[in-house]
Amino acid sequence: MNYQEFKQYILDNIRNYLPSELKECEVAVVPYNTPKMQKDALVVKRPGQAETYSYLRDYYKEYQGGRLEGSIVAEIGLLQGQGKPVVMGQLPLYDLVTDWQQIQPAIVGTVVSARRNAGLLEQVPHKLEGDMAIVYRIDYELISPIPGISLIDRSLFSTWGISQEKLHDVAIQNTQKVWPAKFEYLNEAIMQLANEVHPAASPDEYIEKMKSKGIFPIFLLSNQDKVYGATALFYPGIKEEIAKRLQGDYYILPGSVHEVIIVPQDFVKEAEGMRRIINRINRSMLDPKDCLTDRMYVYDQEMQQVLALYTPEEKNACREEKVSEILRPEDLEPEL
Amino acid sequence: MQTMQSKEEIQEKNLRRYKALSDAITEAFTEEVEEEPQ
Repeated sequence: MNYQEFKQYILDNIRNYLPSELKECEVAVVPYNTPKMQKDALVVKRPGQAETYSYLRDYYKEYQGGRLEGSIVAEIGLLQGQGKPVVMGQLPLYDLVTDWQQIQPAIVGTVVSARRNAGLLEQVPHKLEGDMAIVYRIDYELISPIPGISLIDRSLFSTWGISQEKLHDVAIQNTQKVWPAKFEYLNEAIMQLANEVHPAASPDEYIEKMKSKGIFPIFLLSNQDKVYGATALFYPGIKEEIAKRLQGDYYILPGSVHEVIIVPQDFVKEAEGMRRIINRINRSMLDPKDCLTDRMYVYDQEMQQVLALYTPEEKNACREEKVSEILRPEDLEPEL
Repeated sequence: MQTMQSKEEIQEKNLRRYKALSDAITEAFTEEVEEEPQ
């Protein structure tokens, strides 16, 4: 079997190995992406419960190594039925994951759209940041050679006896260590990505043209790979460091889970126009699941605070009050 | 069923998007400069 046939075999047979209470649940294979790992994950969707992931490419490697497909589908069914955070080939790691001291080096944070994930946020500890939310995951590869990631839900969180603030601090510290922030000109990011994506290609005409136009002060905050790097916005001290580098206030446009666009306030006279441009392109070129927020924020260096910048339409919708069509200082409100 | 995106696929899409962003912002910036009073 090739990988696609293997995946279909698992989907066709998994129900035979699920406990009776799960046999009617939806079974799906979904992409599970982090900066470190991209995998197909099989999930059995239990109403009102966090999902357990079974990584099919890892199982496929075992199949290629001679393991029988029947043994694999039986193991997936067993582990899904137990509904505990699991990794391939392992029995439930319940003893490990409930031990805060052992598990804390493996906890990381990722930013998601709060609006798109309202149902999920009811089940998991999180921290709201404007209309974004930081959620927390266990990346088993950080403490073992075994790949696997599971979302931290409220029931697991409650076994640790720690505050949510402590969970957040540990997750962000770990994330910053594993995926350090990279702040650079948008043009620099384009050149780096072009080199990585097409390393052997002849000189990129676009880049040659871009170089001739000079550097524009549009910046990108992400990680080295520019994959799921928007979390960098919440690393301690990063916003202050950017203000020092830019020597003033700046706009923050977290349109994508992959990066945040930063624009010095002095560069644009009409901030709403900038937001429209960036949102139009993100909406047309991003997968909807990778969209973060259409909202724009501004960092005020003097106040050392991030403020939400509302459009008149948003403000009307939120507060049912009339505002000027022109954004004014009083339209800036503390948010993050 | 959804298909998986590899890191390379995401980076390739991001590269195309960043180029589009750069073009659109450059164009807007240029227009803004041209509108400056002489």
